[in-house]
Amino acid sequence: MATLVEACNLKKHFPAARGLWDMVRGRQPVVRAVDGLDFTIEEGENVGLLGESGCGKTTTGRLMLRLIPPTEGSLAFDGKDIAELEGEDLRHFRQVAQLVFQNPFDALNPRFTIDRSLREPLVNAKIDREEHEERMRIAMRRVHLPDVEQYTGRYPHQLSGGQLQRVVLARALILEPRFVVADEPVSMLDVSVRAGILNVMREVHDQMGLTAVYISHDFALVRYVCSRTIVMYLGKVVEDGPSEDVVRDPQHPYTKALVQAVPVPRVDQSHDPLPIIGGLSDVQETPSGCHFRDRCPFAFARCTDEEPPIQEIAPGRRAACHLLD
Amino acid sequence: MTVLSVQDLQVHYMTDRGVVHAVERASLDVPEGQVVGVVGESGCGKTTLARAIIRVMEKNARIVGGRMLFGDKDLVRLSEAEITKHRWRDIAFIPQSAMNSLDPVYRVGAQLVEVLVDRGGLDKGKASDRAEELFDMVGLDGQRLRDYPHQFSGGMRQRAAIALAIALDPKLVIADEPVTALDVIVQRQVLDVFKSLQNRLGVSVILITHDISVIAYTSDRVVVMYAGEVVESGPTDKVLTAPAHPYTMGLCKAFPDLQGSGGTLVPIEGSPPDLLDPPVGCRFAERCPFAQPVCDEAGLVLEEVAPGHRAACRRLSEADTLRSQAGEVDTWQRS
Amino acid sequence: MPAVTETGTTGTGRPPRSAWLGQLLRRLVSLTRRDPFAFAGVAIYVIFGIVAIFADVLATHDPLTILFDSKGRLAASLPLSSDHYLGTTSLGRDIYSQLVHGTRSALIIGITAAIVVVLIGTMVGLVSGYFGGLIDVVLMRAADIALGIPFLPFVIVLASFLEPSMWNVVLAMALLVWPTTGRVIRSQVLTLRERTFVEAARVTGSSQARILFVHVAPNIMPLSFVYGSIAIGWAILTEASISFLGFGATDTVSWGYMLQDAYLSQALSRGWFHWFVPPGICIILVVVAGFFVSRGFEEIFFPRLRE
Repeated sequence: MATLVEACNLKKHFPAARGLWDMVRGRQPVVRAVDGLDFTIEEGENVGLLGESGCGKTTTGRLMLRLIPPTEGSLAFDGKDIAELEGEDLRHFRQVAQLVFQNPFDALNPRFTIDRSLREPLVNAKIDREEHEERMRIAMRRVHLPDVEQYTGRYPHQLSGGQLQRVVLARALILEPRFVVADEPVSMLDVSVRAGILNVMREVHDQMGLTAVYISHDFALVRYVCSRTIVMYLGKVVEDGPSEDVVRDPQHPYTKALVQAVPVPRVDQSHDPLPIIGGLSDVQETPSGCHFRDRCPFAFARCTDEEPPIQEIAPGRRAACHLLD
Repeated sequence: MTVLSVQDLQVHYMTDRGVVHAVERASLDVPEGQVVGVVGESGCGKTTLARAIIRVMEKNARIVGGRMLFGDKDLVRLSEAEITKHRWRDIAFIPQSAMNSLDPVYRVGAQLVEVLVDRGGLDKGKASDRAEELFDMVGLDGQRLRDYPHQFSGGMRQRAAIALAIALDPKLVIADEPVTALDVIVQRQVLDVFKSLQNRLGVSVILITHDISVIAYTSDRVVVMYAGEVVESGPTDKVLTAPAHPYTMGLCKAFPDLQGSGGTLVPIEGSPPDLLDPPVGCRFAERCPFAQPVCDEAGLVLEEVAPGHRAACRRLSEADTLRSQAGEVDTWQRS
Repeated sequence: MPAVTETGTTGTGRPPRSAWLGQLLRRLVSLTRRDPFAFAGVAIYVIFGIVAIFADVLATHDPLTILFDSKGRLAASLPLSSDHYLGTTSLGRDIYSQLVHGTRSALIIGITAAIVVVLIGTMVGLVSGYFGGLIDVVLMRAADIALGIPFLPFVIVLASFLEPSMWNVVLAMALLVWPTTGRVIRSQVLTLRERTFVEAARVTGSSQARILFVHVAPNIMPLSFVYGSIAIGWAILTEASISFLGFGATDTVSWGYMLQDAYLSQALSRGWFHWFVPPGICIILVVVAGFFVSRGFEEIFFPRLRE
């Protein structure tokens, strides 16, 4: 399988709010949203980017689609650094790489009919008008909205959340992309509707041979949709491997805590205390060495001095922890 | 001992487009010292119900029927003055966004002390001590009493809101979606706070959420709401393992189980009915794969399936058969 | 943003003319029900508009010609009569005709000024808000400067330097009044810029220009209309003030001109209400109409669908 996306030491720092004292001292504090990511995604894979808020997963999604430029490091798509794409190459990239948004109620221009919203990518890609109808029909059928006519003349406010998200997905698929990033695509939908969208996404991935990245904080959903899970914490990858393995046998202390923290819809579940100290925001500044060390119950001296590199601990599995050396 | 018994509560909203039948046939019992989870999706009426219990509702909301027995009093019949006495001392409320409980311009400790002094009648010294005690109970560092709300993280604010709620040692605490906005690790920690309070103080909790896994983790009893009505209620383990109402059956299958085997999730196609003009019969019939003509008839009530376990469905007697069918994805597939 | 309800038109075809007109009339009728104030505003505009267009036909005399009666005497200060609906001025001019022609100049100034202000303000707001950076800083500083200059004195100064003319008002407004619109549009654009569907447009490959004009601009147009509506009244009021103070044009009749004339002729102390009350009322009506229309713009342009 060919590598489609490759991230090398990817970093994205944002300027943080400056206090008066910082200004006096000429300092510009930064938020290290993404702090050195290394990963590869093979063509056809279905990868989940999992983490809590502030871990950098959303920023990574936007970096992968070149919606924001990296501070350091590089992201390659199909072998080419996306930061260097321009002109025709960039236009081509925008056709083959798409994004599905978190908020279906806002992802479509409220003044456009569904028809117009679906046509937008086709117009931008300069596809012949004659082909539009057919492409729209195919895309809508993929998302299980086969009666296209029922939707085309309507406006977003007339559709339910589930229907809207399907339309957003159809719009993302209409140019037959190779790579789709979905950012929390069901978090704003009712639970009974989520399953429908998730099933459609699984189906579409299989049918179209897409390479998909699914960003979420919900471990159970990621495990349901994705065959591979990358766990992020404070801008770094802490664990990476097949979803089933990561859930059943987590290697990194953070992943262990995460797995245990997720409640399940069964009464007989563990109420044991989590193997983790404190909350995320007790962390004022990114710790030196391992970013997780001040919440890790197993931290020792080396964790403060040295950042653990992400390394392969078994075929297809990586983790960044000194305990695993 | 039952702390609260809500019977056939009806709440309507008077809007310029007509009457919205937000809550109908809402019945639930909260036994002493237990956590009752109210689960349902957006628009099912759970928040309306919660606010009706403490009678802090929108201006255009009216309780048009039913009773809410708290001790020997009917909360529906009490005057505003009388119910004010009960608010916070006997029944406390944690609204959906914890920030709503906390005034951003005052220190958190000061807000706690204010409640203790004004409504609890404690003197300042005792109030300060009690505030520290409360923070300790919810797992917050006493030093943080001097901070302002914006200095607290989401999880900490939620804990502070809980501390505020239990300040006067109420019998009942109603928490509206207390963990929805929190990350999963913090969520777990906050849910553990609720459990520990239940154990230490014997306080009863009504926990409102859309997440059945949260219910499974915390609640002794569960009440399932759909389109403004209670469709099923009972002990959590019974309702989750042997649901009697098709909606509950579907809902259980709609949540992925991280520890489970990863079977296919089941979507429930369609959307809830418009509450301006709801159907007279079963409100779920439109989306129910087992609906029959009798389901559209009026007069559907909650019936007992087993001791303490009730559901409102015309086909209750066939619940076991329906349940096994509900396990198949095809059952829920529509053309 | 308000619910848009144009059914059927997807931009690929145009419905026939008659259907469009019919729909417009139907909407106006239902407007009376939904927002009577907005309807009143629209009605006032429409009436004044008709008067302005047909001024030549509706006026009985030339507004500036000094008239003489059958006996050759100056037809000055005449009371209401069938020849002179509102009597004559102290110099023998027909007041009614002045009022009618004044409507025309009022509306010309009002609408021109409104268009100019809205155009400049909207363009500035769009560019400033969407692109940010240096151009935003520069434009907003310009706005601050423009807002710092007192309006009426500026117009007076302008009138002193340039020839007294109606267009001084338009020029002054073009220079000084756009910031209010500009700032509000800019903040709207800043919000819109972050909306998901704008990001979606970027992801699907839309160019910056396309995003600005196809996605962002239509969502702020209603706001432009609001400020345009208010600007009409503002312009007319300003013109009246300038003329009243004697800095206005002397070759065209406006309501302000009439008021000045009446004032100088001591019409108030002489109780010649028929001279100064009509123009005063007209000014009030137009300004108030502008206010009503701006408040009800949502109902006029984007009526809610009643299922």
